[in-house]
Amino acid sequence: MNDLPDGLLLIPLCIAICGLPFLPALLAARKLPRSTTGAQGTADSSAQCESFRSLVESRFASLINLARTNGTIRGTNDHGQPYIVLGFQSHLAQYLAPDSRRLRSCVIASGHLDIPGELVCDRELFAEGRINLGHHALAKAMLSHRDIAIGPRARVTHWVRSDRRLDIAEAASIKGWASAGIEVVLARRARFRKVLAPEIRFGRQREAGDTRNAPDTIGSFSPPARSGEQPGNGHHLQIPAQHTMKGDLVLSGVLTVGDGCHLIGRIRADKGIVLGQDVRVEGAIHAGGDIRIGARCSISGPVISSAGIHADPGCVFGSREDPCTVSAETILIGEASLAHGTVHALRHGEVLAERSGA
Amino acid sequence: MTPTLGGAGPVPTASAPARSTAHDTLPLRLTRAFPPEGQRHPETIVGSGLSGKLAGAWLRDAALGLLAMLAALTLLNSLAGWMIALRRRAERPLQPAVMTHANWPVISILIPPRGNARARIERVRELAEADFDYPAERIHFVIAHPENDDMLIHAIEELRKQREGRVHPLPCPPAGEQGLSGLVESAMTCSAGDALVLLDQDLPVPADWLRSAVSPLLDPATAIVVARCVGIAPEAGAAARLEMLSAQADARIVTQSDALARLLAGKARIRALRRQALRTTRLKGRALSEERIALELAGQGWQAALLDGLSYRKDAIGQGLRFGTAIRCLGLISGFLKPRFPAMARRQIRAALGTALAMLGWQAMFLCGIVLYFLGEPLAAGVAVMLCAFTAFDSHGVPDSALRAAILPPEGAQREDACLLALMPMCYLARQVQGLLPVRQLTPRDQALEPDTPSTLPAESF
Amino acid sequence: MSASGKPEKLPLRRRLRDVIRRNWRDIMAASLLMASLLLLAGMLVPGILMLWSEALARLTSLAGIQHVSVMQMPLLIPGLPPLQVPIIEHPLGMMENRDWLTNLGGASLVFLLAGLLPASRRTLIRTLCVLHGLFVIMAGVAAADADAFARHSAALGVLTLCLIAALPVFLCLTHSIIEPVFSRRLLTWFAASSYLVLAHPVKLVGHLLATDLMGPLALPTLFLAFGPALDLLALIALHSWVASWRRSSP
Repeated sequence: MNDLPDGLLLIPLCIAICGLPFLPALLAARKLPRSTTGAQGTADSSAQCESFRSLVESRFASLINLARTNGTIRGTNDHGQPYIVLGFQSHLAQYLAPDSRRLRSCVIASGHLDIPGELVCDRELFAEGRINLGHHALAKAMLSHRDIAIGPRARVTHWVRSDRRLDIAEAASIKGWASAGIEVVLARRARFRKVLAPEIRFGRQREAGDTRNAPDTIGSFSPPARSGEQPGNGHHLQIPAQHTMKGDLVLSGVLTVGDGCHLIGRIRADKGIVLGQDVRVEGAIHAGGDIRIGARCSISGPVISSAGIHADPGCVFGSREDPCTVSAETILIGEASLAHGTVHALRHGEVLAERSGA
Repeated sequence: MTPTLGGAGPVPTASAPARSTAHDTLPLRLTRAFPPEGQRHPETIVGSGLSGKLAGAWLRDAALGLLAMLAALTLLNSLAGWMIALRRRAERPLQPAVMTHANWPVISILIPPRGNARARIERVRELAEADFDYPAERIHFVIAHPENDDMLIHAIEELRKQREGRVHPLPCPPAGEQGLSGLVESAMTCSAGDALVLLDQDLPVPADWLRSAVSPLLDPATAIVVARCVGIAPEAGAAARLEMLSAQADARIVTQSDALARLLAGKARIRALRRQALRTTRLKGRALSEERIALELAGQGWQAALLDGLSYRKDAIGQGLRFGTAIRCLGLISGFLKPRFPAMARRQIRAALGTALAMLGWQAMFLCGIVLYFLGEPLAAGVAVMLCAFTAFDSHGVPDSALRAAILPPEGAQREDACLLALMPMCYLARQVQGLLPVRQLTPRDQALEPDTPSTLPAESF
Repeated sequence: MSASGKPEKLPLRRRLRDVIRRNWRDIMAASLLMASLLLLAGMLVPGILMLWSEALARLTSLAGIQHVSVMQMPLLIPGLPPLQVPIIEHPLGMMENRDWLTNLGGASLVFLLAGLLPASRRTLIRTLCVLHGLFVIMAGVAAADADAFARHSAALGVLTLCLIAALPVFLCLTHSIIEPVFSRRLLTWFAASSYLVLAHPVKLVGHLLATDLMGPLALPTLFLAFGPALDLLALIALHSWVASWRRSSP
């Protein structure tokens, strides 16, 4: 080692210059962390609906009582956003400027609420009575203690909740969450994302007596054995028509089920599932690919696909006692189908119009 | 581009101060020659004699080849990360749907004995009053209790009466502070239903995730449900914030097929197990750890489901990928090649293998850098060290390129923390060293902080 | 969805084409920025090298260490004129027992003192100490030659030039991932390049002083821990600092 050089003072300078880029990082490390919210993303639609309901109950209850006796009240909230509290016999159309196409106020109705056609509502709508959304109208969110009817080609962008029945007319579209206390009825070509109700009816329902009884099965089918206790019954598999199969089934390929089969157990197929007509499944169905369901099948559910579900007319998902979930990126459901529980299309859901002669 | 230095030899600059004249005309090469030209400095050679020279040259070539391969793999890995990140930014992929309605199976919830007697009794009372988002008649409880804890046994009896026999006490040795996964095997025998749900003692009783934790098990190919750990607002400390930052960045690009990899890297924990699958494992009588259970099940072709959106306290997060786990993970390669395995299981095995190989590759690259430096290849060593610094970007112990870690949520608080990214490789290095060191016997105090680490881990880890 | 029930996915080439068609403006802008920055960096390199050699000459004379000279070494890249990379010649003496004592003793002392620190920092510092001890022993086995420091400085110079060249490529590739604002990208490039250019001679002189103080045994630690890795971390620090600024519009 040499004697100490004169330029020893240069060492702190070198450290300072080389460490300069790390200064923001060190300062950030010393700073007190802020509280972090929003890690889980924004609250979902059902939470938004419930918060709106509690807002109405807490902030607007007295105003609604006042409006019942004194007529409509208009005002603005703490954030300067306008609201209208409609009286019992008042109509919204009376308070709209002629030729007005846009409604920027939150509307709280103490009775029924009729939204004229082609009106764009930027804020939430609430009614203690029935809500009618006119044709081609657009609403952000709606909540009613009674029924809600959504007119043809009308749209709801966020959520809609009726404590009784929700009717969605032909070619109307619900982009968010739709829920009803008793049932949801979707007309043909209606589009949906997430629908929750004890009963969800798609398209025109069949008349009583039109339902065909499922044919009896003629034999039992046993899938290829697994190796040891490992999951996996092979690649592709075809179950012949009118057979019964019991037990869980795991495939890495495509499962094809013949007409009139009866499957008891959970099913998983990575590439896709094709069910024939009149198939009964007592258990869950999972598929990595598309699920194609023939006419008049009944599945106790859940039915989950990471691609699409295509159901022919007359299918039944779940039961009133055991509701289930039907979920896929794309869901296309034929008319006269019925679901109990949740139907969740992540990208696109539509009720298919029944082809003539089908 | 192949830069070569030397040839004409160093040229003195005009402003150079006094300098020695001994090396004026001698060419300086950036790499030391093997065997050395002119034998100017015979001591530069590793070892002595001809065999030493040959060994040195062979070692250098091998290290250079290995480094080239690892660098290519690292660049490929970065490219994959880049593609994923770019796709995520462009496409905004869909969130997995949480199942709201299903025919829910009967399950058992396993509760380990932790903390003092008072805390245990408090826990049982909490459970008695808890309102789960799951049909109450389909929940069984398996409550582990020390054999000599009479008060706790009494409390369990009360709960048993209240829940109409759906409570199963599980006696365990009083002294052994067993980990949660260590209890799994004995809990199997006294539990009921399709699945075993693991509940940490030190976390609040979860009311809202039971349904989402069990719903992946409705898929018959799924054996374990793994929940991703995202630290909730840490009270203090740059290290805690770094961990949270990397967890948040990771949350943006994590996919379902990563479930095993997340578990091995300590970013997730087992939440629910299919009892039928666990019965098939060959783990009888051995010390269990989360990774061991997961690896064993994955090796048989069962798949794991990743549950999103669960928050945990920082100290509940696991230790990260250990060297021993990474080595053991390589045994999965046979499962990866089996076509009969469900595709999802193979994808998860691939992700887990990738994670383990990335860690081993990082360590090999670092070693290569050191070896090459001492064999007189400073340029190659520099490249190796730079790649190591660029890749060591995950505080959890998974080598990740800077590209992946830089995908931060646009929200304010995390974005301000982005400055800390430069400190992340150091955090990574510290975790790597912790993983390499022989794990010391955990003291009870440490165990309270790391509740899911079984005390018998050292022998199994290496 | 196809009638056969099989998933219908767009082929990769078509998806790629769609993505490129949707973002071609951004892609073109980022590529143009990369090309112009690369060109600019290439034009500035001879100037940077001159600056380094001048700065090194002055700093070494300021440091006042004996037997030190600044020289230039031609870097030959096929197709380009040779670049004169400045290096520092500092013939290192033979190892002495004092060197061993200083390095190993110092490392052990720091290792023990690190016990006072919180656990998270302790591991890192102790790791550095252990690595230093290891490097010292390895350096003792493969003893350094007289050219060791010249080679050290030349390798650092070449790696810094490589980083300067790689910077625009990195900025282009991470354009829409990390920071989509072009002005901030430019600022990042400017800050990072300035750091690389200005800090290189300072770092070399720092290494020179450390070597003079601790003997040739410290060279491996200086190169492996405080060489190119430090540069890269500094670049990431600057980059993430710019990325941490809030955007005006969310």
